[in-house]
Amino acid sequence: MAIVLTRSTGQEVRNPKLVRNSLILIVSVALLLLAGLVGLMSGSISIPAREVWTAIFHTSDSEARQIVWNLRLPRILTGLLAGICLAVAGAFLQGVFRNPLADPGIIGVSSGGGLAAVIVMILFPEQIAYLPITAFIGALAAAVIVYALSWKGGASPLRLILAGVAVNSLLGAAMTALMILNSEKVQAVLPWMSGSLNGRSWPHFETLLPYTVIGMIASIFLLKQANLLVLGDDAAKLLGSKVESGRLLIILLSTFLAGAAISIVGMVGFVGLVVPHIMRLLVGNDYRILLPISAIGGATLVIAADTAARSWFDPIEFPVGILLALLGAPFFLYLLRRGLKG
Amino acid sequence: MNQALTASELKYGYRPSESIVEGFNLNVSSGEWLGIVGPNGSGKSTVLRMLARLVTPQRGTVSMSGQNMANMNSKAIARQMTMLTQSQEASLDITVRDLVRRGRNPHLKWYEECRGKHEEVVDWALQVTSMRALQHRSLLELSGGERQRAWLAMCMAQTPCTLLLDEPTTYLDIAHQLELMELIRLLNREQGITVIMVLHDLNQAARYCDRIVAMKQGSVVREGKPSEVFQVDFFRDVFGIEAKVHNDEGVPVFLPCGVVRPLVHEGIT
Repeated sequence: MAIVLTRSTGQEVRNPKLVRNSLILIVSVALLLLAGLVGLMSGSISIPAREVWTAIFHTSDSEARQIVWNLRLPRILTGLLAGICLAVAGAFLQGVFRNPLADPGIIGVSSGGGLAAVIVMILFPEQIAYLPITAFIGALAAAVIVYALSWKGGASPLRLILAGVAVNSLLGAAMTALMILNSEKVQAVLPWMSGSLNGRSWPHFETLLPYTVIGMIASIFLLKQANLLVLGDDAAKLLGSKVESGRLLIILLSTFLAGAAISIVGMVGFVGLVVPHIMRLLVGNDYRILLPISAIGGATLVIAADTAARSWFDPIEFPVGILLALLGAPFFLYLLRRGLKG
Repeated sequence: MNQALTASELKYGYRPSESIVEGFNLNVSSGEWLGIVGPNGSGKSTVLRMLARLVTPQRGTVSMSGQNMANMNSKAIARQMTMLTQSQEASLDITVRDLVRRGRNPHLKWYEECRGKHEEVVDWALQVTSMRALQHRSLLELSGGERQRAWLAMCMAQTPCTLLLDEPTTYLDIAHQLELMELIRLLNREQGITVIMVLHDLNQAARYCDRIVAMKQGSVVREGKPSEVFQVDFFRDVFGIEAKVHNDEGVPVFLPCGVVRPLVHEGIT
């Protein structure tokens, strides 16, 4: 086909989104750093910023060093990784399902991981060291079951969501049954169920780090595919994309990320739903910007909420997952009603 | 004339006993504008989706320039043929230009980004569809007609030889309908793009198409130039209506007068 290119004489309109998106990116990085700093400073003992600095970069036996280096920093970094994993998984899933209500829970990650974790905690408490890996496998298995159930010459978003709802309620029922039959052991399960960073330290961070890095590298390769899938199955096929295999890869990656996160911090909900949703309202559907900004937003939200959860209710360590839902849900509703774009 | 697209003995049905399309044959020459018409449930949209390889025929083959499409790479097909679907994903918040850029996907390797000469094709596609002034707007801010043109611009960025359209004017008012049809005519005449279009408005079909294929119950019942096909008995046999057919400078124009028989609800797709 011959292309006859004639230069338009009209004035080119500059892309106004570029400036806006750069600004949003800078602001969100600043907010993340701020959340990290405030997180290091606050808690049952307040430590001024300068002492935080000394505690991080100078080895000593001081109490500040103990608190900042051994307790707060690894906890914040674990929260950072968990937030990134959950928000990126949510952003991907909302795209491939073309549904703003999709989150890692929809494909069974939470219920599968949750059931596996509850089985370990209640039936095999002496094997508690294997909890993360069991929860991770449980999450993956549930997602595979959901995908397999929805397959009928292809896995349409609608069938995936329906299969997810069915599998979730089945696994949820099994989880509840286990807890009721072993009500004396439920106390140990509850913090994990609501998602908590309590007691998370360097080993947790070191476990989660490789999963996050691998997941982030893989997501770079799936950006283009996600950008085609949001156009709809037909449009993506017409652009020469292999829709089914692309969707499967994105679902697997999201399961991998969310499964890794919940195996370490428990069932932190809401981050995977609300962060990508808000970020999409701010920057639009282009995954090249939506994904990094969701990752930063997820990390910021988890760190900020955990800081609040452990300082506001001192001496009680409030599970961050509950606080996220308590504060996040009304804020989310407010945003939905207001409509960020006006 | 070269054959752009050939379909032979296509069959498709949801149940083994009932076929939506059966024994469908079609030859499309390159550069022609073909209109597919027929009543609801006649299988015309299903045929179009089989031609676009969105639906796999249960029997029969579709060939593009003599090559069986079932054996072709999906990107190779997307470089030569695309389709403007009837409705598109409505809630997409991306700029027109970003949408049109995605039309370059079949021409890019998996690691390549749309830049350099690909951006020039994007410029061209925006220009030819008169979307240049709106290129940095979000799809959400566009009217129905503008949005349709944005998706057409994406199709054009694929630089296809064949463009399929599935009732593209359904949701547009009459001025936007004609605007779109004129634009397609421009692409057909000046860029030499083969156009295959399913459409409901028979007068528009008569005015714009080179050739009409009429379908009923899953197969072709009439075929030919608009003036040959659009006769009084055609409207009676295919659509079950009485109609007067006038001649407007060589273009048949029809006026519906009434239903021949009470409409029985046949499987409406």
